[in-house]
Amino acid sequence: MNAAPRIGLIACSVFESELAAHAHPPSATLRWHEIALHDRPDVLRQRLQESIDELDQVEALDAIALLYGLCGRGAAGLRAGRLPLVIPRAHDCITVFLGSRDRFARENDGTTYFYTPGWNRARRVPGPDREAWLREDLAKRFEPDDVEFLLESERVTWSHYSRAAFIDLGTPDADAEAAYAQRCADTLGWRYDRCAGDPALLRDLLAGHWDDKRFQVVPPRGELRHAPTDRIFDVKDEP
Amino acid sequence: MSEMNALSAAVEKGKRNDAKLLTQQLLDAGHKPLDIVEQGLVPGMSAIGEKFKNNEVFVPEMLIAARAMKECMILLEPLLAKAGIKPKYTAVIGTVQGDLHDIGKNLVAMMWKGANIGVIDLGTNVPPEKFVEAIKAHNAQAVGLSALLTTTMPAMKTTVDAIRAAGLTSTKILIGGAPVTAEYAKEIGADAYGTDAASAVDSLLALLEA
Repeated sequence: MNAAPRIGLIACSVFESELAAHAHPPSATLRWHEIALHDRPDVLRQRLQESIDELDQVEALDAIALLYGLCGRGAAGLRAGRLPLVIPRAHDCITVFLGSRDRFARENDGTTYFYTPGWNRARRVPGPDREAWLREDLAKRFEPDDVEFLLESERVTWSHYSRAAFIDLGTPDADAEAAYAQRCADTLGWRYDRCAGDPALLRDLLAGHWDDKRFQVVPPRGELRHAPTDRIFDVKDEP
Repeated sequence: MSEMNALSAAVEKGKRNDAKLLTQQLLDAGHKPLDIVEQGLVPGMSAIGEKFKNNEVFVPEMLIAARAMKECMILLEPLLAKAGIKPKYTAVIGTVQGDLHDIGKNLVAMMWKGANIGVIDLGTNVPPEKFVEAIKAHNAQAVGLSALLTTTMPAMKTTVDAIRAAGLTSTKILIGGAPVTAEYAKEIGADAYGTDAASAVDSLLALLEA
């Protein structure tokens, strides 16, 4: 295929700022899904499949791209229809923000928590707002003593981290969101870094530059599977 | 509702003070500590675990239920020891190297204890050689490996390989955690896969009593 393929895109809304800054997929065939559905992988899989099935009916498309990673195995089991599917070989969005699996492996030292504009906006990142939100949410369901216990359990969860890294992809909101990440780091007593993101995976996904090392292409009627290896995905062909 | 059922309900709802009070009342009424564990505490945890599996409740509900059961176990464990109840089996458990998550692992450890299995909990981020050492040191018949992240699943395979390479060929290996599947267990040579904390008890006992 010489011309760029015509792509329908299914994207997690964590990428809103970055997508607007680095790629311009046609909005008619762009489907957004809410952030953090990886917490409920079965729901994520179902929603993605619905979007795939819907876009598969659009005549003027050559492929459907997923701006997702494996995401808690939510992407495992997705089935292609008449159009091929393509997805970056990534465990989650952090690989996409950082531009490669190698970079993710280098940065993800087990003590680093990553901040991005999308995650910051969702107020899911560890920091003062998360705790306030959580306290309010838990108070609706639990006794005050249980709320304190659950908040303490939450603090223990974060105690393994010591570095907040804001991934900067040059979006208009980067300065404000970097400042927010730094405020979170200060509250938690963590080291703070602002590190440069890399839009290569994002751009190449949209441009059709799908080398096998970085992308999994699922042929028509194939099924995307989780491969617990460096490649992250493989494909089950339709018998 | 019998007091035993009331205890199950209190554990399920995470009402730790009610659960402790009911445990004491059952003891005072002459119930055996092991019966209280098996007929009171474990069914309560199994019930909340089932709801968790079906997305009806979430991690906080599991945590407060586990706390309630744990506090009752603190009352019961000395009595179980005094009554000469010895664990039937010993199992090592831990979260694999690179993974620091322990909620699921702790739930399984508690359910195993509830099923009268001696548990050696190695914590999180456990390197393969630590599992091997602990299995040997405690003559454990089984080991449970936990992982929450898809990035750390390969460490399960490394650990299984290390256990087998150390000559521990009859040690039963169970794996579990959100991303793990039965297919993966088979692929890496583990003996079984637990979908949740309650089924981890059934799976382990099925393997050990086979």
